[in-house]
Amino acid sequence: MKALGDYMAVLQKDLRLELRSREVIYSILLFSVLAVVILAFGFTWVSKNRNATYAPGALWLTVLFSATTGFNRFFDREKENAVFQGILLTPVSRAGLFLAKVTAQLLFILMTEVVFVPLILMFFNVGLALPGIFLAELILGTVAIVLVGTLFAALLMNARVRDVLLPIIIFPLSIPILLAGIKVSTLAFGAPLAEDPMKWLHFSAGYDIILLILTVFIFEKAVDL
Amino acid sequence: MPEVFNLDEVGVVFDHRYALYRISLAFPPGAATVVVGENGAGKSTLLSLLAGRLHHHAGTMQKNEALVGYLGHELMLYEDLTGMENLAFFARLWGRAPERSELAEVLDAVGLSGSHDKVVRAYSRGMKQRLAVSKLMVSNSRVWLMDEPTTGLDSRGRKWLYNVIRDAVSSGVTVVAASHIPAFVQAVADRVVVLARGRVRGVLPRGDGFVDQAFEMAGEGGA
Repeated sequence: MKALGDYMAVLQKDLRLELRSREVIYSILLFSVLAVVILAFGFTWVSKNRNATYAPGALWLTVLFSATTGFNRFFDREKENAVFQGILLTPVSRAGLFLAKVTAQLLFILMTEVVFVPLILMFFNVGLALPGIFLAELILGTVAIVLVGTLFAALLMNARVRDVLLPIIIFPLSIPILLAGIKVSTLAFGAPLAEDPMKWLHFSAGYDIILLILTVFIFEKAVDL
Repeated sequence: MPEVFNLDEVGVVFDHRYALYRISLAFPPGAATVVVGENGAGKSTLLSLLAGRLHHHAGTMQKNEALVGYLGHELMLYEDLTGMENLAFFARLWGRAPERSELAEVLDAVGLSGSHDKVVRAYSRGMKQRLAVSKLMVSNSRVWLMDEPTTGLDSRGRKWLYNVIRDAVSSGVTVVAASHIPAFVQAVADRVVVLARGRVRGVLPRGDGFVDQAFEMAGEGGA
């Protein structure tokens, strides 16, 4: 029960702070919209007939890069006045704390996806043949990126080269989920591939479960080292 | 009752050099211990070690109290939350769910009446310090570690803080504070630990002239 109470306390606090400043959402949103526009120009300028091939890659790169932008901003406010240290000096449930951070960050990124995913569909001129499967994969993929990103953003908060280290760690760990996301998105955009999208959805769900267990475990151990 | 902290030959290393060297100290429960020493003597390092923010590299350290409250140089407050929101948040993390009226009483008691709903960014340094002290007051901890707790407080604020600490000690709270202010030592200390260059120079119980003696031992001269 203490873990649940701590989870709610941290989540409410993070949402309240974001509602007040909107720093994280605005920085993710601005970056993602710019990324979509640049990628759209880059890929659709010459070969308009291959949009459906490029759109999945553009989508998942935007999700990954924009989420990474948000992680640093999200933890900047925890660094100010060493307040994250202050939280860790209370008997807060480490799992509750971590999961609250993951939930808040997930909500912020999903909110921005509501804006930039339709932009991708529009700029790349692709339709959704399998909207339910696409949505499920988008959420599962974002969860994986947020689990890895939140863990390492928290652990590297005081590192001097945090801005460089974070992508170096997050990007390789996100490759499996990017591959799954690109496969499912390709199928969802109506490409004639002889593959079952459910297979990749199951893979993504399994990857999320493994990451959830691992990241909570590592966070609990690492913050008290 | 067992000692709250028991340090035996403890060493802490920073940058290949001992910041604390062979420290052997015991901290009795329900007493106020003030650590004095010049800048760089190891006062903050000792408090960080007791708080669990640092690990020791030599010796053994026994901690007999799980919940330890810490007030450091960094006040560990959210600048964009109000005083009331900060206090309510940290009280919840300490496992308490006080009513708003109870928190308002605490904020009034620390001299922040009229500023409950202002964001901390708008507070003066002294007001932030008072709010940080109030975090200790709403915690469940029976041990308060306070690093230079008078920072930013005017003379009225300092007197207020002395009373807060003495009241807490009277109710059984163990206080370990670092300070370089003789008046603070005189007002709150039951005993003084003198540190110099990471080593314990002496431990003095409260008594006649103990403040002057402590600061002379620390190399800072008298009050």
